[in-house]
Amino acid sequence: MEKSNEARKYSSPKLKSLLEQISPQKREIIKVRMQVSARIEDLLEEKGWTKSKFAEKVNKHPSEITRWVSGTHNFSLETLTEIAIAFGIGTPELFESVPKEASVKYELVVKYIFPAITNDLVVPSSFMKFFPNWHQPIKSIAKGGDLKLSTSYTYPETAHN
Amino acid sequence: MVYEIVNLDDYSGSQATLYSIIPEGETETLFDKFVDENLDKYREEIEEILETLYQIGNKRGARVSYFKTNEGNYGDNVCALFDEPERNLRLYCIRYGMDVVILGNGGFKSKEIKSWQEDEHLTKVATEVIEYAKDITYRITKTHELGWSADKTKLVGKFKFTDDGEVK
Repeated sequence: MEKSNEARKYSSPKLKSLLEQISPQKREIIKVRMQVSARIEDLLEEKGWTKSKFAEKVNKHPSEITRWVSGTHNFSLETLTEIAIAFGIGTPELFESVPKEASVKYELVVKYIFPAITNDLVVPSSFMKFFPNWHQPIKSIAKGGDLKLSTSYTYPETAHN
Repeated sequence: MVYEIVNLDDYSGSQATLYSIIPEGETETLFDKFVDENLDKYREEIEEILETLYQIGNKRGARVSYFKTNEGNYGDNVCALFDEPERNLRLYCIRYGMDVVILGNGGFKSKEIKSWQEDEHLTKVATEVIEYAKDITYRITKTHELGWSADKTKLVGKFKFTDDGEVK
């Protein structure tokens, strides 16, 4: 069944007005702490560290790390510096919005029974599209073995500012 | 269950779509009710929650770390907006990945209790959200009245339910 209907848009004058009444300072504080917490979470993922492993590095309980990435924690400069040192970055970098890159890796393994003796392989255009660098490892299979081709694509997400 | 799911236009944005539920016979959402019931006593916290939700919708998306998960039954996606121990309010919601959050009701959570089952009001509102989650899941997975937009960032389909469903 084709579903195209979207939910009715609902705006409550009270909720709208409350949002508008929040002081610019408070809005900025919440925005920045959510940004910093997202950055810490992204760095953990980038480093391949669990919260427990990171907790060990900064000598905290893992529940403290959960608070740090929750978007609700008001960080002190001391804590931010400690976090930055643990990640091996400068403290100001915790405030940066780094577009998260999602990468997709394609891999194709071609099994060769006999050693390839020529570079004159006929490669379909659809293959070329996904493996533009296919010719690079060709010399390695001249000696026989598997031809392993891989290529990666990264998709930068919209930068959050 | 008889209810309508509505898109909270002032809070939804490019990063997540925020919905709430208007129960049968009511004109306001469960989330309106939560704000109404707690605004006078906990205005500061309500403001924080509102801005946090705005940031989720417009800047950051519904990262799982912004929520306390597993507040309902296994796999029903019922969670609570993350609150630090010194906070007073707890807001229950149904989170579907980074893109969709359905806001429910909530209330004061005493420091004396560990779970909603220990408080009468929280039991009422959490149970209510769990029931809606069960019904919504049924309508997504069984009757297919609800589904996902092509980019998976919104719910599409039927949003006003006038029957009791057949939740098993």
